[in-house]
Amino acid sequence: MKRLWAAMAILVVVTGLCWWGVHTTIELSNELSSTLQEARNAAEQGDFERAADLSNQAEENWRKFHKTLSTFIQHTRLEAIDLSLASLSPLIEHGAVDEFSSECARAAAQIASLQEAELPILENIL
Amino acid sequence: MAMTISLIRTLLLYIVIIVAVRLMGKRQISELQTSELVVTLLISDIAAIPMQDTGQPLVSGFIPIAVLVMCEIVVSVLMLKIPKFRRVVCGRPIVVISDGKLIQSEMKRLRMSTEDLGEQLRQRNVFSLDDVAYAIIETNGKLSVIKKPDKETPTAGMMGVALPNTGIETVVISDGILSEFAMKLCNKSPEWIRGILHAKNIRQEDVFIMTANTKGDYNIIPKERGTSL
Repeated sequence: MKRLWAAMAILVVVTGLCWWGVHTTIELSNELSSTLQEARNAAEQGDFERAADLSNQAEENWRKFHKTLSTFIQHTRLEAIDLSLASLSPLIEHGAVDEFSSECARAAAQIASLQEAELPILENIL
Repeated sequence: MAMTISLIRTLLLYIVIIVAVRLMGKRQISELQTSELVVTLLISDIAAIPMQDTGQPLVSGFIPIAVLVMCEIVVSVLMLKIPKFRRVVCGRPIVVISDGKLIQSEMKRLRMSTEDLGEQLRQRNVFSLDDVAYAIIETNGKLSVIKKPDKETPTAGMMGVALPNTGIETVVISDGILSEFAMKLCNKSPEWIRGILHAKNIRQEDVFIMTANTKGDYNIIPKERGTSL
């Protein structure tokens, strides 16, 4: 009977961990995606200062969540996003709007892919 | 740095595996059912992945191991409570020799050759098919043999010989340390043990191994110079 209770406890803990992981990933990816979209819009409208602020904000948010995400996501996937976000500030500071815009789109796609990969959907399970 | 991370991960995963094996219960590897053996092997394979690849999160090892342990516990409880479920998971024992006759259809069903059967019989100290009344392949793959009555090894009871009951023999001192559990098992007190050691002029710390049984028989092996467990 004790082992059965232990099994139930394991089920609850594991389910809780999985739910928390998915929830954290979705929350972060939604937040980052909207920040990156805003930054891209600002750059295209010529507001480079705001675009730089937003890209710095995105990078800062990412760094805050990075530690948490690295406990359950492969590090190579996170490193790809690290590199994309790190290149945004220098690009907008040098006025490279086109490259900045494409890098924003790339980072957003990587983040969307990260979110999709964490969802317990049929495609991922199979 | 990766080496240090590997070291720490290996220690953590080792603890997790020990806890997992303890939770799944005590069985020798030769007594495991097929599903239990598969789960045990799976756990070791899964644990190896985050041990070797520091880019994989540790949780990618912990969660599968935890889920396998949970499934194993639930399945073992269900097998205990529901005989039909047990039959589905483990199968039934299969009689391959019945009343001295080889059942070839069952051997074919098991994909068991005559060489396999011969090997298993010899490992049971049976060297002739004529000696066997019944041979059963158990659900864990082991062969159980019931010999014909005239081929059985006679026991003391069959010959009308009364053997003394010595009770259980346990190791009461191991590498100089007294075992309370072993003493309780053979119903002996520390004073009795110390009395024997005193009479033999041996100190407890100098005893490599001392066994004793319920009847009071004992055996003392002192330590050789330079030996310690």
